[in-house]
Amino acid sequence: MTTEEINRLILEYGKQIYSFCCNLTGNKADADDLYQDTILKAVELRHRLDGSGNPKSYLMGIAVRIWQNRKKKYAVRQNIIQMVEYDEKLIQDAPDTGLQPEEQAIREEMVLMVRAGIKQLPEKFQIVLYMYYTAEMSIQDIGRVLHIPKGTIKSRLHKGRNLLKEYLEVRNYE
Amino acid sequence: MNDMDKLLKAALAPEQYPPEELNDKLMRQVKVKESGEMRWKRKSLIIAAAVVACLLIVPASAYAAYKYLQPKEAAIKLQDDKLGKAFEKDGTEAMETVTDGLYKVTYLGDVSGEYISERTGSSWDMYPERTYVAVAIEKADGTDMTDEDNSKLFVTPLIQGLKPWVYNIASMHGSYMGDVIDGVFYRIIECDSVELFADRDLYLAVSDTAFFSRKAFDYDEETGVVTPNEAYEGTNILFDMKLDSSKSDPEKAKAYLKQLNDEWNLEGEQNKANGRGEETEVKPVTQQEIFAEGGNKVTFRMDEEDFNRWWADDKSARTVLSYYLDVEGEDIESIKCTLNQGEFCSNPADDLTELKTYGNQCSITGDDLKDRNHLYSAELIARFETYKDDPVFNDNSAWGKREHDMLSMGIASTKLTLEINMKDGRTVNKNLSFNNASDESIDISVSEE
Repeated sequence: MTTEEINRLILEYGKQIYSFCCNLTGNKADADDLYQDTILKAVELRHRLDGSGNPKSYLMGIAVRIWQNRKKKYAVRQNIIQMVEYDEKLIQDAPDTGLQPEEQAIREEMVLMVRAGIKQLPEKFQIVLYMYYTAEMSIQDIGRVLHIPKGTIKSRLHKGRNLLKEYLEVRNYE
Repeated sequence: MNDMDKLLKAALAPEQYPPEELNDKLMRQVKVKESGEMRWKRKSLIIAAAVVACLLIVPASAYAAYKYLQPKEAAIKLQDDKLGKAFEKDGTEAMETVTDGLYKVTYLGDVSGEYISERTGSSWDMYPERTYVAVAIEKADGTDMTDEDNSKLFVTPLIQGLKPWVYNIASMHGSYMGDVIDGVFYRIIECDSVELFADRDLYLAVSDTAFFSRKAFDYDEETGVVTPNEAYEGTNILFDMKLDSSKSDPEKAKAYLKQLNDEWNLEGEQNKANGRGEETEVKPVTQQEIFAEGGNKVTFRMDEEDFNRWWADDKSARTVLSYYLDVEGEDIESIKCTLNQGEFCSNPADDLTELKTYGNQCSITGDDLKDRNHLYSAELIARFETYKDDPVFNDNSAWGKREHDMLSMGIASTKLTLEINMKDGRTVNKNLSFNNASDESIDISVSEE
């Protein structure tokens, strides 16, 4: 794989993969590690990447498997406060939405609450939500990557949304 | 739901570009990795002839020394140069190989010390003295190791006199790094230093279980000696770790055990007091049943997972049953499974809030088969929740008791009825039962009735 090819891979999918790593790990250091490990593994398995026909799905599959296999290697003890601080940083770094300051504040608060709520869900729901909303993958592609039927993916998305809704309702959001 | 969908899209949209310096670093690593691989391939060719020539006359350890990366080399390959230097300077090489079950495991060596790795973590400051052990794992049939193989293996130091299911890599702030290199999985595990206990027998246990399994190893409560269970069908290897006994420190060891126990006792209280969510990480327990029906092999696999517990300000929840079922076989039309003849488990339904969502019966049809190469899946979850006005909410021990009651009563009496409809019109009925659940080992056996 040439430098140019790797650059193209990063240019095309880097944002979704890195955002997915950020959401999944909840902190920058682990997100950086997971992102790097994913790309390095993809370079190592480049023949499979080339033959996959769907590089994004293939990269996401690598990221999930690395996370599942090595999450103990990363600092996995999630700390809610640390996560919230991190999420706040993400919001600060986010592109300008063009909203009025007051609307922007409400939006930010809601985003923080949603992110905190998702972190409370069992990891298998989190992964599916992040793959669907952050990596913007289709249900079919998520099923292929996780080796789970489409029906189960739909069920996890549905269940994840419901649990999150409950979480927000308890806190008088929604 | 549309609102939730919009909300999630807004909250989770990909907005983070990888920092430029991270991509630059990545490119540098790709170049180093590529050149490293080329060097290693050349080295392999050069030593190949020597290995063939020496194979019949050299002892196994010397053969292992030729065949596998040395601990130092493994650490450098895994991008921890600092640890590589520590292995070179202070490490001991073991180079012992044992083949058992599907895997051939070589204990490469170990090293203990403070701040000797480039990797850091939250507990490193509190427990800076750490032990690192390098192993090489291969498939016994000579095929290449995969990440999936790796995820099935548990490698941990064990200490004579300490219950292995309580004191192992998972409880002693452990972790590992690893990678497949030329078909061999090199894994370097690390945990709090076991050198303090070097006046006792120390073991390196390797098993094909996701977590420590009492089925794979026996523990003698009187002598504190750990042995492999001879009846275990699979990989359950126990190496002797020969650490320098002069470095043992019984007083320090005693203090460490006290500190560890205090930490375990405090952890739950603190999390609850702080209103923080706590994830109790328990690796999935996998059981597998294979039976032949007509000419078709049918594999039933059950992953028990997600025994997590979390708190919010006014609510806490605990998953007590979470089965992830995979059934693999050819020519299956559909599968219907029922738990406990229609009753999820024997506990009052009020406690099992997820029951309404998931029901106690599920059907899997051939529709899901298209993308999956003869694999059917279903998930069955039950959990109970407590709210702020429940006396159990603020009482950890009462919570623990309820949890224990749920686990021992619920899972012990859970029976799964499988109705498998084959494409040729036959119907195969199988009854499986889940027994012997306990809050400590979360050990479930599956037996066919």
